[in-house]
Amino acid sequence: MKLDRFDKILLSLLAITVVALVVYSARSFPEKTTAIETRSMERDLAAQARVGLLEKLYAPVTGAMQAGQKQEALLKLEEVNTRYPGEAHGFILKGEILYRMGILDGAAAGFVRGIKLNGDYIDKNSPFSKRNVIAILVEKSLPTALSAYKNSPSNPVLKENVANLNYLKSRLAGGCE
Amino acid sequence: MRFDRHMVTVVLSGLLLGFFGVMLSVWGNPENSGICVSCFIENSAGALGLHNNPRLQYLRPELVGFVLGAFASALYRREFRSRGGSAPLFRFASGFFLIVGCAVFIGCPIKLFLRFTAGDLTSLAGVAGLIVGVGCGLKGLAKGVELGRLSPSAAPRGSGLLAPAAFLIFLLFIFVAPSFLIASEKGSSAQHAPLLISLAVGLTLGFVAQGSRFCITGSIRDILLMGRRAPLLWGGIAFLAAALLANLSNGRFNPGFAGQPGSHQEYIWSFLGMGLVGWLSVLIGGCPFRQLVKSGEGDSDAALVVAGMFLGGALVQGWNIAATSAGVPLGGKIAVISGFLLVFAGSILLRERE
Repeated sequence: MKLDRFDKILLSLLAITVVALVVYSARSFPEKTTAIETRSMERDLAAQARVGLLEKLYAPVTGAMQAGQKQEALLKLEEVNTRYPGEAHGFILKGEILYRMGILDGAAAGFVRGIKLNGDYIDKNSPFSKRNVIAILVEKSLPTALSAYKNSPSNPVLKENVANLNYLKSRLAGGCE
Repeated sequence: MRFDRHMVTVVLSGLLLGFFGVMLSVWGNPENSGICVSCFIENSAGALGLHNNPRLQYLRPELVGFVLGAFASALYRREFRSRGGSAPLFRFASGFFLIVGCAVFIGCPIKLFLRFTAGDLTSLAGVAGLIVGVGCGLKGLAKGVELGRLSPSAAPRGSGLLAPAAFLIFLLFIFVAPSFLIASEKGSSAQHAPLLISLAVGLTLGFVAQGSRFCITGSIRDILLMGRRAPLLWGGIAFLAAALLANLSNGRFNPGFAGQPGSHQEYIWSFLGMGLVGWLSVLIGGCPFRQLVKSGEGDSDAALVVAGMFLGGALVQGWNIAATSAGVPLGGKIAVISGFLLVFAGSILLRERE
């Protein structure tokens, strides 16, 4: 390939551009580190703030739960839910209270609504992870829910319960979503 | 059946894809998603800031490996050739709808069979859809629906280098992360095999698949056309056998319909999603994996498909198109129907008539 004058100019410009790119990329390293640190800090702060806020908001509910006052906990939860009706944490706590009360279909429904809003509750490493409770719930209830559904397949409540438990089982199994 | 060098390469590709498809999950990738091009594209689009689902943001090294491995193989085999210029915008839109179809099914054709070999029987609807889609695409080809021939003269010399160059920059991003690159700390994107293993597997598979032309939809197409004479049939069988054995030996074979990882039970939409992927793949000459490989060997039309796939990866998350274990959202159903609209209208307009 024979290079004419225009090619040579273009090659020179290409070389200058490559050098400029390297120089500017190298110079941006300190800024880059700062930006990453700032964003990591912001993300961690937001996560911590959320944990702190939820703990504070739902403290009366968790307090009643720890004292074994399940009905009281449900009432307190309804109070908080009137202010934050779409919060996943509320659904998760409802699921947990109903689980402790032995109302397993209601517990599954609560967990499903919460996890659909925020998948963190099924993650192993999340601060509010309910993975273990949910795994026990699924293991305990799915066989009985399936046999009940088989006996009366036209019952929409039983059908929904099976669907909820299967959804929780699928989320526990993992996958990319 | 001739057991020649090409056949060996095809079978080797199938074996490696099946084996590593499972093993990457064992080593850290999400369940049944050891290799899933659509998941990787969604993850990578998120990592580049193209969508804001905090659970799906990670620049997948395997994806980079596929393209750069194919690039290296094409150079080594002296097969790198800049070519393109055939219905580029249709291909771009097809790339978008490939990801739509995959997102509604939850997985690309490779993951479809990885799910199947792990015992996920809900994937059968997708298998049926993919076969029917490929069959319909072939029928279209027989009736004269063609996007035109790829031409080296239509593509400016060197244009085929753009896709490998872009992925080389992504490789750089993996090792020297710029400030805008995002990595999930939770959800499925936080699950990944060790970086160097992922990259090495991606490079190996890209290298081998470039030489063998291995492709899931291509295998189905060849089986429908040539039956047992098709080398890709044996590649497909090798893929299924390797994945099944790897799943069985790692205790990952759990047959059933309900509660499978990353799956839903809306069978009609699984069928339609994969049907769309199969049909489009025949029209544009390969599944999402094959498009990545072709973009690495200088095919700028395939590179446009890849660009469309990245847009798809961003929008299926941003527009609530992607299905979850809870089912297929309304947006996903509308998007699949829109994809078929493209296929039907495109087939009418692109058909060569006598």
